[in-house]
Amino acid sequence: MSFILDHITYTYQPGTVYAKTALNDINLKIDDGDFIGLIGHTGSGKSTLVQHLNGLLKATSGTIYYNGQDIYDKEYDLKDLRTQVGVVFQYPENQLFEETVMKDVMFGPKNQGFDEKECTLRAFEALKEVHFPDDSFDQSPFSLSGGEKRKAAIAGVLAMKPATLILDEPTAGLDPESRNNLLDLVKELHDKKGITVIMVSHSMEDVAEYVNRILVMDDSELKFDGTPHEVFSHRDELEKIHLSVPAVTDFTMRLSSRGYLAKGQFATTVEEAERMIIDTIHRR
Amino acid sequence: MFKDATLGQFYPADSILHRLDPRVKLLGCLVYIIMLFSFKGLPGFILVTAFLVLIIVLCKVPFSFMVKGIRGIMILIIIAAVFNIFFTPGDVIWQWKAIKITDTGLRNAVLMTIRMFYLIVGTSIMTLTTTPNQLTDGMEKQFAPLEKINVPVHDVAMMMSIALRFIPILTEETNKIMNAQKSRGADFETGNVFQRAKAMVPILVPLFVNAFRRANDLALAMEARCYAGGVGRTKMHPLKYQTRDFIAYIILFAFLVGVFVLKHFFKYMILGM
Repeated sequence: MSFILDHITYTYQPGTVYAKTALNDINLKIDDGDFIGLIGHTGSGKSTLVQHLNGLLKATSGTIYYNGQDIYDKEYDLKDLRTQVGVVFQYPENQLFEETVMKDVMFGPKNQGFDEKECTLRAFEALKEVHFPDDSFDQSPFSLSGGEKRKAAIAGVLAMKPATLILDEPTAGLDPESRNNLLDLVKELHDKKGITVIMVSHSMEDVAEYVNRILVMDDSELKFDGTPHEVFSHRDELEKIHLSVPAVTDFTMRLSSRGYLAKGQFATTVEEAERMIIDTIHRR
Repeated sequence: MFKDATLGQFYPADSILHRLDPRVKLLGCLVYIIMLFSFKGLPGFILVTAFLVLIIVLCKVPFSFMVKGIRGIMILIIIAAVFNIFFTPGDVIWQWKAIKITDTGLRNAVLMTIRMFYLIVGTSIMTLTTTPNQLTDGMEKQFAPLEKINVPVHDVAMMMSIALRFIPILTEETNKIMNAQKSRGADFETGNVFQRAKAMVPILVPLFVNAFRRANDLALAMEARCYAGGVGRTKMHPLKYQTRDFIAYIILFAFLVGVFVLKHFFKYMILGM
């Protein structure tokens, strides 16, 4: 059952000229094992929403329940929540600080109170999980390449063994190859370990292939919530808020509007489009 | 962590003080400080208060917003007042064992508190109504004659504006890093002084690394745009005095003269204050 967000509203610097509503009455239920793409433009409130999920920001009004417990309850242990909900922030390589990659990844487990042996084990496992090159474990994190730094930072969160992993624009600033590697890695983590994944992005293209559910945010509000198919069927509305459907969806939609595919039929991934086209050709 | 740091933060509003030339405001600050530390007696005090009230009303910044930033400095004022009350020699008016309060001590404490409070409120209005860019522009122009004696006025002004520009960036960055480390279970709120100082390492190391990286990027970007110091450099919005600026100068001068006149004539009228 995981997360329930009940009428969440958040205002930055309330009561001043700088006051700005970043979240406006968000209602949301996130199930265990979901793989969610959270899409929206810069300033649509997606990063703010993410920071609510592990209690870094407290909603101006509304409540969040995690596994049935109110996280704003005075008795609730936010530190415990943060170990269960791992957040990888934008440009996570900016959080690296230790002398070696290994030590940096151990920072999380150490804060959880595990002994040296357990921390080392967890760090080792996490680094293996992100396919971090073995010979760089004891290197300084500052001497790594961009993609490797990011892997190390993600391992730093994974080492805490979170039940939910939130990634805020994980592919920003990466080259196409590292980007694909990273997205495949996230998919692998979701499929193998069964953790709930929420991936924040401003591009549908990035997430369509991987997620089973898309949330679209615009102007502090939750506009759409559904499977990629459901969300992309609102193509015109999406375009109004300057979000475009993936190229392959656009392509198949055009095919169907010209009569080459069945009416209203479209694909969200390249494989799906391939199957669709082959099927149609065979039927003719 | 930095939520209450409103002291000196620019407050956008459309007021006469916001529109004044920054040079007027800079000189105004100086005049105000001279007034504040040279007035004597009740009439002088009233005149300075009148000046402060005038600029508070004119600047259209909510008073609550100004005072919010002062809260932190209040501790400093209180400590200064306490020292003045208990450790100034003079005629004893109240005594309990070794602790005594003297009349001069009490008077000094009151005066000191008023002066500090006025000083902070008055000068914070300067930064509340002036953007950092205007401020450094004003300083650069005001101190331009010093270039003749080889003082690098432009460079200092440029450094100042860059430093000011970096404050919000680094603040935001600090918050981001803190959030990231908090998400990894870091704890900044509990523990003794040493534990807390140690907890700062995961924030400070990335912060410094990023600051150096940013400084490098900025230097490169400036060089790529052929920045070569102040010689021959023109401004997009050169500072130019308007009628209102001259009127402001006259008003400032009038207040300054007023304070000195009152100080001279009413020297012995109010119990030595």
